[in-house]
Amino acid sequence: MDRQKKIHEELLNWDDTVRKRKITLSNPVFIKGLALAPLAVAATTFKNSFILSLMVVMLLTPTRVITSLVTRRMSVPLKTFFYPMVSALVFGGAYYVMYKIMGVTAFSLGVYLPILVVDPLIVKNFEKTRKESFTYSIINGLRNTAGFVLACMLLGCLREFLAFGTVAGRQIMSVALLPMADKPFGGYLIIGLISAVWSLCVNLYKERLIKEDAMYE
Amino acid sequence: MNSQTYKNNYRQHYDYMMLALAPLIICASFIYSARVLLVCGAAFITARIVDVAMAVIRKQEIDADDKSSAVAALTFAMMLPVSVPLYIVVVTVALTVMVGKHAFGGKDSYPFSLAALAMCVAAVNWPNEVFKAVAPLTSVNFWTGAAQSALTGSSQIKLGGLPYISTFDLLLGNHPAAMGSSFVLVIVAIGIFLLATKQITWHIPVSFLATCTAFSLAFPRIYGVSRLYSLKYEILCSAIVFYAVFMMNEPATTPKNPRAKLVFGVLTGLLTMLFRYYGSYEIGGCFALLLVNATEGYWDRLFEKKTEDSTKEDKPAKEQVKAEKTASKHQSEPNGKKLYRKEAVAEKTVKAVKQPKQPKEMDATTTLDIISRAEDEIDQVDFSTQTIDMEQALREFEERYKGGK
Amino acid sequence: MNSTLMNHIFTFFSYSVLAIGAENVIFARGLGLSTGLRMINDPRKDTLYFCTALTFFQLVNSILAYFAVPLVYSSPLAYYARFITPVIIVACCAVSYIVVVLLLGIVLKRSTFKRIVYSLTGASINSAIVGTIILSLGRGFNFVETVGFGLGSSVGYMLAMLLVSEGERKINHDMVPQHFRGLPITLIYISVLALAIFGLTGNTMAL
Repeated sequence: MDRQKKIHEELLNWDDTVRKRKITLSNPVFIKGLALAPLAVAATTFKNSFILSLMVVMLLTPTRVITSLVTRRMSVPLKTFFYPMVSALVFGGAYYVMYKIMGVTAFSLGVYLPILVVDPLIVKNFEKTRKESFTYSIINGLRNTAGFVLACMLLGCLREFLAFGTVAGRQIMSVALLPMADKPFGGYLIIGLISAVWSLCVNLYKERLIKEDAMYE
Repeated sequence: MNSQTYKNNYRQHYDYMMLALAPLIICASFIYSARVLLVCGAAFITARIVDVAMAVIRKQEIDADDKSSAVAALTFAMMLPVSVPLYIVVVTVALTVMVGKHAFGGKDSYPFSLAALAMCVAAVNWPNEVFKAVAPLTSVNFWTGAAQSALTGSSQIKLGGLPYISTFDLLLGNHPAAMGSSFVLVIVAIGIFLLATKQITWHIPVSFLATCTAFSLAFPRIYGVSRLYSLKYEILCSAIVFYAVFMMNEPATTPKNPRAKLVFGVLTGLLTMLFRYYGSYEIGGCFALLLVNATEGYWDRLFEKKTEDSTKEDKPAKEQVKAEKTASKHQSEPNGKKLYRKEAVAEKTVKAVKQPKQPKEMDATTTLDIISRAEDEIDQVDFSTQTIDMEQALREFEERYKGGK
Repeated sequence: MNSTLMNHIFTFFSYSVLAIGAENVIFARGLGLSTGLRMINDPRKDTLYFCTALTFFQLVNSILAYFAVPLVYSSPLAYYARFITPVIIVACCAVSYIVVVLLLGIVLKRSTFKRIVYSLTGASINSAIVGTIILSLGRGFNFVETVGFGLGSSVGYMLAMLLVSEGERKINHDMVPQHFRGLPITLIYISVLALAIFGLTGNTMAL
C-alpha cells in the first residue's frame, strides 16, 4: 500500500521526482549537459576522473552553502558578481588542500580544474531569483556532487578501457578497442551515447512505474 | 518534384553509384590482388547488417532499397590500402553507420558524408595501418594483408620530396596508393558517365577541382620545378579527383541550389588544400568535407532567399493582391452588406479599441513579467525531455510576443 | 619602427587564426560548451548578441588579467600564486561585468537594461573566457599575443556556436530516435565537427 502510494505520488509529481533525483533521473552531466568541458577533454582516465571528482566534492557543496547565505538578498547582477567570487575563493583553498594531499599530480589537469570555478555545474544558480534555504542548498549540493562523481568516474573508466585497454592502470585487454576515446571528440561522442542510453533507462523506469501503478489499480 | 519522384531519384542515384564503384573494384583487384574483394565484401556486409539491426531495434521496416550505407562503405574501402586489417574496416563501418547515419535519423537525414566520416574515424584511430600503402602488383597475404609497404606520392610531397612517378603511371594508378582512389582515368570516365546519366551535376566537382587547381598553382609545394609540374603531382598523387566524383555529390549532404553547390565546391576545395598543406593527415579532403557539410543548409537558404528577392515580377502581384484584399474589406462584409467608408473606419476604430495595439511601454511590462518568470524557471532550460517541451515553450513564447524576438 | 609594427600585426593575426582554427575553444578544448549549448537552446537569448558580448568581455578581461596576475607573482603571496590566479581572473571578470552593468544601467531604459543584463551574465562569467586567459598566462604570451589569442578564441567560439546552431536546424526533427533527441545528438554532432578540426592539429592539446 505504501509502495503503491509512493509510486502514485512519484508519477503525479514527475517533474519534482526528476528534479530531486539528481544522481539518476536528472543527472547533471548526462541529462542536463553540465561540466562538459572537463569531462570531454580531461576525464580520459580513472586517475584524471578521480582528481576532477575530488575537486568537485570540495568545491560544489561549500560554494552553494556559502552563496545561499551571502547572496540571499541580492539581485541578479550582484549575484553574478559574488557567486563566482565565492566559488573562486573556495576553489583556491580546495586546490591548495589537493596540492598538499597529491603533490604536483594535482596540477596534471592543467586548465580544466580552474575552469570548474565558472562552470555551470557550480555557478548555474546565480541566474535564479528564487532564494535557497540553507538545508536545501546542502541537500542539493550533495545530490549534484554525487551525480557528477558517478558520471565522471564512469566516463573515466570507460574511456581508459576503450583507448588503452586498461582500467585504473591495470591491463584488461591487450588491444585498444577505440583509440580515439581519449581525444576530445571521442569524449563528446561517448558522453552523447551514454546520454542517449541514460535517457532510455529513465524512460524505461518511468514506464515500469506506470505499469506497476496500473497493476495496483 | 513530389516525394515519390524524389524517393525514386534517390534510390536510382545509389544504384548508379554502386555500378560506378564496380570498375574501380575490378581495377583494384587486378592491381592489388583479390584481397580487395575481401575488404570490400567485409565493408558491404557490415553496412547491411548494421542497417538491418538498426531497423529491427527501431521497430521499422527493413528497407532493402536503401543502399546509402553500402555505397558509403564501399567508397570508404576504396580509400584504404589493401593491407588494412579487416577489424578496422568492420569497426569503422559499424560505428559510422550506427552513429553517423542512424543516430541522426537514418536514410536521407544524416548531415555528414558517411564515407568521409568513416575515413576520418579510421585515420585518427589507426593512422599506421590506414596510411600504409602497398606497391602495385606485389604479393599480399589474402587473410592477414601482410605486404611490403611503400611510400605514397602524397606522403613524399608532404615530407618535401618529389615523387618519381611518370604521368602515365599517375593516370593509370600504377603507384603506391589506396586501393581505388588513384585510377584517375577510370575515375574521370566514371565521372563523365554519372554526369551523362544526370546522377551528379557539374557544379560541385568542377568548382572543387578548379579551386584545388588554382590553389596548387598559386602556392606550389614542390620547389625547384615548374608550377604545372607541381600541380600534376599535387592533383594526381592524391585522391582529389576521387573526392570530386564519389564523395561530394551525395544527395543527403550537399546543397540543392546550383549556386549553393558552386560555393560548396569552392569552400571544400579551399579547406581541402589548407588541410593538405597545414594539417597532419594526407586525407585533407575528408576532414574539409565534414566541416563544409555543416554549412550546407545555410547556402541553400541564402541562395533560395536571393532567388525569391530577385524575382521582381512577383512583387507587384503580391502588392496588388494585398491592395485588393484591403479594398474588398472596406467595400463589403461577408453577408454582402456594403459599408460606407466612415462606417468602415469606425468599425476599424472599434476593433482597435477592443484589441489595442501594444505600444512599446506595454511591450516592456510584458517583457519584464516574462523575464522575471523566466528567471524563476531557469532550471527548466535544459535538455531534460521529462521537464520541458521546447516546442510548446517556443509556441507559448511566440504567442506572447506577436512577431517574435 | 615600421617592421616592429608589422611584426606585431603579423603576430596578432597569426595568434588569432591559431585560436580560431587549430585551438578552437569549443572543438579542440570544449571550453564554454555547457553555457553555449544552454544559450542555443534558450529562445530568449540571441546567439550573435551573446557572442559579441563574450568577445567584448574576453578582450577586456584578458587585458585586465594580463596586468593583474603578474602583481601576485611579484608580491609576498608569490608561493600561493598558482592557487590565487583563478581568483584574480574571476575577480577581473566580475569587476568588468559590474562596471558594464552599472554603465548600461545609467545609459539605457529600464526595460532594455533588464533584457540585456539577462543575456550578459552567461557571456561575462564563462569558462571559455577564464580558460583562454589561463592558457595565455600559462604560456607566457606578451600583450599582443594575449589580445590576439583572446580575440581569436572568442571569434572561434562564435563560429563554433553558429555552426552548432546551424546544425540544430538539421538535427531537430522527428526522424532522430527519441532518446537521441536534445543533448545526445547535439554532442554527437559536435564530436564530428571536433573530429574535422582535429585533422588540422593531429594531436590533442596539452591540458
